[in-house]
Amino acid sequence: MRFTHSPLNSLVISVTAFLSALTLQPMLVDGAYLTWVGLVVATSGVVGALGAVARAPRMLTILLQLAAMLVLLVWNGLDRAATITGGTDTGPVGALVALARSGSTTVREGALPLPSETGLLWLIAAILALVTITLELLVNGLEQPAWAMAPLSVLYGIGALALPGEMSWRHFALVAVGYVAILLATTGFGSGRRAGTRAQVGQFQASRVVVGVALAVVAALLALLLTPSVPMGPKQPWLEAGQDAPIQLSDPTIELNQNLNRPQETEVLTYRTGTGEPTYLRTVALTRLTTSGAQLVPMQLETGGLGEISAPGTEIEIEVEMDFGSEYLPVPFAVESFQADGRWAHDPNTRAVVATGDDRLNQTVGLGYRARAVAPTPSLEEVSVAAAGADPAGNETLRVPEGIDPAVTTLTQEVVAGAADDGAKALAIQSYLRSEQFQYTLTAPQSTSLDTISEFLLNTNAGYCIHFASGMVTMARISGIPARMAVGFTPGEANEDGSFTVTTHNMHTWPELYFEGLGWVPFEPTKSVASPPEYTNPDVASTAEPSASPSPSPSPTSGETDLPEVTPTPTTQDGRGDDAEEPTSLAGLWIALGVALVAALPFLLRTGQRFWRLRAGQEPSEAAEAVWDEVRATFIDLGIEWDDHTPTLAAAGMTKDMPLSSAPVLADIASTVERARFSRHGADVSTLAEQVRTLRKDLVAVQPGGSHARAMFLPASLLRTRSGT
Amino acid sequence: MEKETPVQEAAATPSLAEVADVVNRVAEQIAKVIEGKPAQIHTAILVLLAEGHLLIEDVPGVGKTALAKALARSIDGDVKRIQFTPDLLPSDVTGVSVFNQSNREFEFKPGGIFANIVVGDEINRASPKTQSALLEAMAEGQVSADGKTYQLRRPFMVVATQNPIEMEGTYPLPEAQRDRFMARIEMGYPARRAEVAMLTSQAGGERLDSIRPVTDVGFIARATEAIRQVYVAPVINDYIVTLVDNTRTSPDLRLGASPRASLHLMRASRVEAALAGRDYVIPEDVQRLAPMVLAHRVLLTVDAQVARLTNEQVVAGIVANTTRPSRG
Repeated sequence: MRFTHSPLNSLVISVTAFLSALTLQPMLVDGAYLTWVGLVVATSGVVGALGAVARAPRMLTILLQLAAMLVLLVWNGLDRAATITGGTDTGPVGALVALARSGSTTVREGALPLPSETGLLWLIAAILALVTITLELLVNGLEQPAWAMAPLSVLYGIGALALPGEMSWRHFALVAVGYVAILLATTGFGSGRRAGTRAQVGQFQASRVVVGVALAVVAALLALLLTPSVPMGPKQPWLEAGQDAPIQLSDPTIELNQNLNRPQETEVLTYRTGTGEPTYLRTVALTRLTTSGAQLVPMQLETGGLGEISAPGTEIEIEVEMDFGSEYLPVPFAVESFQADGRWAHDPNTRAVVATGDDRLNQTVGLGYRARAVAPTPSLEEVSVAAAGADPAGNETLRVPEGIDPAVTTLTQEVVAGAADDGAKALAIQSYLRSEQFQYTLTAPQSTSLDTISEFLLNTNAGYCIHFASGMVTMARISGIPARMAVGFTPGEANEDGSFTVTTHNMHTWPELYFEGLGWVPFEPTKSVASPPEYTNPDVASTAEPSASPSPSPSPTSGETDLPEVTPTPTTQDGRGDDAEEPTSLAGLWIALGVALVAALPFLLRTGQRFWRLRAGQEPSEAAEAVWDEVRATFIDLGIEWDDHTPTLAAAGMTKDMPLSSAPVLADIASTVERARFSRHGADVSTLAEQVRTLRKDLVAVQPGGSHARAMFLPASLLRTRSGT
Repeated sequence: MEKETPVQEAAATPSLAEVADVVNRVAEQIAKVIEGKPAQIHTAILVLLAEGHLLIEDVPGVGKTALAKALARSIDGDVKRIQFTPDLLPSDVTGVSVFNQSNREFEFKPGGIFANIVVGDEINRASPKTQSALLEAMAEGQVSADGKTYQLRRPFMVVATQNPIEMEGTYPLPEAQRDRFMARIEMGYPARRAEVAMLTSQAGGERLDSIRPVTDVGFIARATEAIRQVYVAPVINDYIVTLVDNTRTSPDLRLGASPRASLHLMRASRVEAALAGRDYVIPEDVQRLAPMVLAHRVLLTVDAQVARLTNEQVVAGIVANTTRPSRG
C-alpha cells in the first residue's frame, strides 16, 4: 500500500473521529455532546484540508490543527466553567480544572446513562480532540493509516467496558466504516501497489511484531490509566484480582437489634411517594443463613445502571430526606434507578445500593435522594399457584442451614402438607408463623443451644422480626423455594403533609421468596409489626389497606436485653473502594508537568520520528526513502544547507563542506538510497540505519553547542516540507 | 601527434565503464578539431549511442560539418556528405537502380545515405520531397527501391545541419520531419580565445587529418546494446511522460511534443546515465536532456513569440515546474 496525502485525509479523519464518538452514545442520556464534538473534529478536518491544499508542511499542519482545537476547547471551556464556578474568579486554569473535575465527578459518581453535565460534555470534546490529533499523527504524520485502529478502538473500548450490557454491533460498524474510509482515502482508494520486492522477510515480520507488541503495551497502559475515570462494571477484570481495597460491610442485623432496643426513637428519614402510599424501604438482603442467623455474602458491586426489572409490579416513585448515617441506601424493593449525590455502587443480585465514597458510613447523613422502584404486586391467585423459581444468583438461597434440627423439616412438612403449589406452601408458612402460637418479643428468649432458628420454631415460639424472618426463610428453603432475608424499614408513620417519617424503631427484616415469573416476592411473617402483604392474605379482601399499618414499633424496653444470638461477623466484601486523592494539591505539579511536556513535544516528536524512520524490517524502497528523509531532517535540524537533488548529486554537492570522516558516509548512504529508488535490482539497505546514526553523531559532534541544543529541542525539520512533494 | 591505437575490445557486450572510457577518448579526438565546445561534442556522441539523429542548427561556418566528420573519423566509420541543394533528387539520397548492360540486370547504386555517419549539409535548402526521402530512411533504417529493401549500416546516424530558417532560400523542415531528430543543438560562435587558437592551428594544415580512430563501428554497435540494459524505473518513465505531456498543455505552446519525443528522451537519458557510470536513470538525466530533445519539436504561440521567448526557455520552464520524482 502506498500512502497518498490529500486534503481528503483530514476530512475523512474528522468524520471517522465523529463516528467513533457515536459509540459513546449508549453511556449518555442524550446526544447533546455530539454538537461540540462535531465542531471540534470538524475544525481539525477543515484546518487539515486547508493545510494540505496549501501544501503546508504536514507536521506544521498537525500543530495548527491541535492549536485550533485547543483554542476552541479553551474558549468553550471558559464559557462552560462560568456556570460551574458561579462567577468566582479562579483564573482560566482554575476554571478549566474545575470544569474537568466536575466532569470526572459526574463520570465517577453518576449511574449510567450519564447526564449531559456541562463538564462531562467538555471532557468528551477534549478526549475526541486527543483522538483526532492522534489519528492525524498516525495517518498524516507517520503515514501509518493502518494504526488508526488503535485510537478508534480505545473509544469503542470505553463503551464496551463501561456498559453493563453488550454494545450493539452497530457501534462497532461505525468504527469499522470510519477505519476503512481512512485506509481507502490514504491509499488512493486501493490503487496502491507493492513497490520493490520484499527482501528480508524475517526481519520485516519481526519488526512488525515488535511494533505490534509496543502498541499493545501502550494500549494496555492507556486502558489502565483511563479506566479509573470511567464507570466500570464487572467487566473490569483487574479489579477482581484484589488490587483495590475491599469494602468492609458491617452486618446490618447487629444494627437492627441495637436500634430496635434503643430507648428513644431517632428519626431515620422522611419520605414521600408519588402516589402518597407508604412503602417498605429496604437496605440490603442477606442470602446466607446459618443456624444462628442470616449473613451477608460477598457481593460483586457494580457502578453502572441497575437495569430494568423484568418481574411484573407497580412503579413507585419516592423522594427521601435522610438524617441517619447508613452505608446502604434505603430504597423500595425492587429499585430500578436512583439519583443520589456521592458515590454509590450496587449489588445486582440483591439490588442493595452501597456507599463507596470516602466517608461511606456517613454518606447518607443529610442526604436527599430520589428513587424509582417496581414493587412486586402479584395477585393472591398468582402467588398461590406460583412455582418456585431458580435464583439467578445461584443456590445459596436454597441452602438449608447446616446442623438444623431435623424436627424443623418435619414441622415444615406438616405445615405445608395441604398445599399443592410452591406459592401455596409459602402462604401456609406465613400463616403458620402469624398464628397465635407465636409471640413477638424484643427480648429474645435465652437460647440453650446455638441453633437459634430451631429453638425459635420448635421450642420458644417467641422472638422478634429477625426470628420470624429467618424462620420463614428456613422453612421456605426446606420446601424448595429460594428465600433470602431482606433488611430495612417498615413504612413508618404518616405525617399531616402526606410524607412519612421512619425512625430507628421501624427497622425490620422480612423474607423474600423467589417464584417463577414473579421474581423476588416479599412476605411478612411478623404479625405484630405489620399486616401481611395483600397478595398473601386470604383473610383480607382486596379492599384491605396495603401493608400500611404504621407504627409497628415495639414498645421500647430498657437496655437490659441481651444481644440476640444472631451475631453476625462483619463480612469482608469485594467491591470498589477508591482512595484516590483529589488532584487539588497536585494542580501545580500537573501544570508544571504539562508545560514540560509541551516544551519537550518537538523533541519527542522528532525522536519518535527518527526511531520510526530507522526501524528495521521495512521494505528496502521504503527504508531507503525513510533514511533519506531522516538525513535531510538531520541536516535541516543542524542548520546545514540541504540540496534537494537526487541523492548522489546532492551528496556530491554537500560533502564539500563536511568533516572528512562524514563525507564518505554520506556519499555511501546517498548511493544506496539512489539505487534503491531507481536501479533495476534495488539496493542492500541493511546497514543504512547504522550509517545514518554514525553520520548524525559525526555531524552533531562538530556543531557548536547552541546549534546542537536547537537541533534537539526545536528541530526545524518538523516545519519543512519533505523533499520532492 | 602520438599514434592512437584502437581499443582491443572483446566481441562481448562491453561494460558501461568501458563504454564511458571509449566515449571520453572519442571526445578528446573531436575536441582537437572543435575547440571550446565540449557540451556539443558530448551531445553528438550521446545521440550516436542512443541510435538517434542529430540536428545542428546555426549560421554557416561555425563547425557543424567539422563536428560530424570528426565524430565519424574517430569511430573509424565511413562518412558521407550530402550537400542539400534545391535541385537534389530523392534518388541522390537513397540510391538508384541502373541497368547493367554486361549482365543484363538492374543494379542498385546506393545513394549518399549508405554510410555510418551521414552529414546532411543545409538540409533545409533541399525540396521537401528530397527531405522526406532522407527522413524516411532515417526513421526506418532501411531503403526500399524497385521492390527491394536495402539495410542501412549500423551504427547509422544522420547529422543534419540547418541554417536558421529566417535565412533566404530555405525550406523550413516541417514539424513531422523535425520530430525524427533526437536532439537539436546549436554550435554557437566559438569563444574569442578558441577562435584565435583555431586560426593558429589551422595554419598547420587540415586538422581533421590529425584525428585517429580510437574505436570502431563494431564497438559502437555493441555499446548501444549495453546501453539498452540501462534500467529506467517506472517512476522515471512516468516523469518523462509527464514532462512531454506538459508541453502539450503549456499555454506558451501551440504544438507540444509527440510520443516519439518521449521515446527519444528515454533513450537519450539511458546514455546520459551510462556515461555517468550508472546502470539506472535518475531524474536529473532527464532534466538535463529535456531542452535538447524537446525544444525543436514544439511550436510557440504568437503571444510567446511576441514575448521573445525561445523554445528552449519554455521547455526549461516546464522542466522547472514539473515535480521531480524523489521516490522510486
